[in-house]
Amino acid sequence: MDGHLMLNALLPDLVVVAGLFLCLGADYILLRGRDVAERHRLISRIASWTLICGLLAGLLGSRDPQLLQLQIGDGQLVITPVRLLFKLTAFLLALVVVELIPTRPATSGHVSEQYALLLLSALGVGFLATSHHLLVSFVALELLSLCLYALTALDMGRRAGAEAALKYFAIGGLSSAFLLVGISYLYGVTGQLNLGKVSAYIHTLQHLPPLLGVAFLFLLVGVGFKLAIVPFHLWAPDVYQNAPTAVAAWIATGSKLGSTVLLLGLMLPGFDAPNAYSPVSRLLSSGLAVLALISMLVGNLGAMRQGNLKRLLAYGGVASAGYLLVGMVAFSDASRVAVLFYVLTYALASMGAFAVVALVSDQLGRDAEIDDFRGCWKSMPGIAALFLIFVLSLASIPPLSGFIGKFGLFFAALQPPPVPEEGFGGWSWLVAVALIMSVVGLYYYLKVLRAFLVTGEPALPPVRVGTNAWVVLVMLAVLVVALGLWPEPLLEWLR
Amino acid sequence: MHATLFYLFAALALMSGLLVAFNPFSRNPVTRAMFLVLAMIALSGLFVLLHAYFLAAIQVLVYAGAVMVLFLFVIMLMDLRESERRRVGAFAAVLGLAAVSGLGALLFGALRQAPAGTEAAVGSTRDLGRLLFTQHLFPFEIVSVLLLVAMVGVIMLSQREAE
Repeated sequence: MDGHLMLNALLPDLVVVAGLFLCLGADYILLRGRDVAERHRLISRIASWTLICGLLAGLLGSRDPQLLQLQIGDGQLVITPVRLLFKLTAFLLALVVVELIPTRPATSGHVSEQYALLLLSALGVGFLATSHHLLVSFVALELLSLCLYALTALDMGRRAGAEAALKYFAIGGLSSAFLLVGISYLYGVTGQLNLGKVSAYIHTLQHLPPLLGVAFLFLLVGVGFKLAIVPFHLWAPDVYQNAPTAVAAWIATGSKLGSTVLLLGLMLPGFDAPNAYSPVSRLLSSGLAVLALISMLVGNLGAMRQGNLKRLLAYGGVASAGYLLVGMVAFSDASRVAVLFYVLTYALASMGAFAVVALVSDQLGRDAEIDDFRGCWKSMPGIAALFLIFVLSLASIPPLSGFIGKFGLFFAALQPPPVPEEGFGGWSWLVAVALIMSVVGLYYYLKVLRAFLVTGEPALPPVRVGTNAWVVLVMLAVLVVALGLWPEPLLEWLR
Repeated sequence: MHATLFYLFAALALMSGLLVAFNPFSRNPVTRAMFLVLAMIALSGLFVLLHAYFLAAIQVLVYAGAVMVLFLFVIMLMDLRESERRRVGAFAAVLGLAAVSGLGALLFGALRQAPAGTEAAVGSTRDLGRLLFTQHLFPFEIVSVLLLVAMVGVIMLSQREAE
């Protein structure tokens, strides 16, 4: 393989690795014994410049046409425009998270470790996005998950924080074991680690061996946990509520981006199938449809009962994973594009909503009850306006990108397969359920907005928001609006 | 001979694995840890039968040796006594049993129909090393970053009250 090209391809990652050693080194050597706030200031600057340099390195790489069709080591490192976009979006979201980490922590004296783990998990998402290989994907997913377990436990002083971290770690470890067993069965049946070759091998089989079904079951359990799909979602509300808000934002967005790419890779045999009736795509799509149905039901109905904004966003995330699967069941090119577009727009809007929660309630030391935000419009009009954009996009109201994303998903599921067959009526019933559930979703998101915009006297004193935080918030809002009004360039890029 | 040894080690691994999770005779965590050692050793026996000698040796050295010593350290440092008998609700018990038996039946059915493997594993140290440093160099490097995560995470979580 060409060493120079590989070095170029990995330049963003190498920049991030260098930056994280700089964070740790500066904290341990230069800033020993300094004030926590001062350490936070310097280390967060290093972390954000590291990510900006990584982003620039990636953008420079995207100008090299040779790099954009790179395949190294049997799919271990595959760079395409879409994969590069996902990797750089992950870095961008990590950059937002850096700005959200509170600089005056009440308990922890650990500063550089937080930023280092965040950078390491961004690396994990990046590797996941550029991998087309079972082994590399698993290792990258573990890299990401281990960072998230440790970051969730940051608030171990609080009983609820420790409980959430332990729950996340225990269930996460179990799900990784499921994923690994699924991968080893898949490897055992096909003898391939490259996902493309796995899919090609499956399509040469005359009939499906039962072991393959077991393998896909285990894989769905493993990835289902990472994406918080029902019935593997039980960790999500507790973790989102009790982890530091910045970490919850990262779990809800970065980890979702990476896991979606992995799920698309694992479902490749369905996408590669000659038509929607081949046994393997029937097997996979019926599995996905069941998970989609229960995820939408449990997520939306669960969110209605929540009084805590972070728990509500967690259930909203479960529901959105359900919509994602609705888009995937059709296994067409349109559905692949729709899934990728939706998960990008969901990540941006969700990051924005969490960012507002982090900036407002964390600074005041509150637990983000919805009632706390009463009358936010009066005390903090700018923040409330941005929050309006993010929540309306999550609720998929027309001009915003969330609407385009969800529309694409449902449209892809509704398109009839090229050759109709007896006994298969398409997925219109699933889309019907999804539409009804979207109305339910509208109800609880509007309930949150009512607290922000309409009700009564301000419950919170206004908080000071730093310049950097404003910049990232406005950037997210502009992206959410622009992708709604003008989605064609991105859709074209994803095709 | 080969088949007899396989069933012997497999039964040993399963039995001691079960005794780690539910031991009707003792609720002492140290006893459970010892059964975990036994399960590891039985697994390494299975690796030997597959001609994966290096993996078998590593299994004994790292897991049965080093990792279990750490387990025992933790158990003794934290002075864990007999674990309490946990209450499991009827709903959870039924659901758990149904899930486990369903999964077990599925696995059993699938594995019975699967053809037996014919290739012997290539498990010598030289082959493994060559694979790790050529074909699988990239995941190997990611694993080295992963160890960094473990290090940083432990520093962060273990020194909580230092401030």
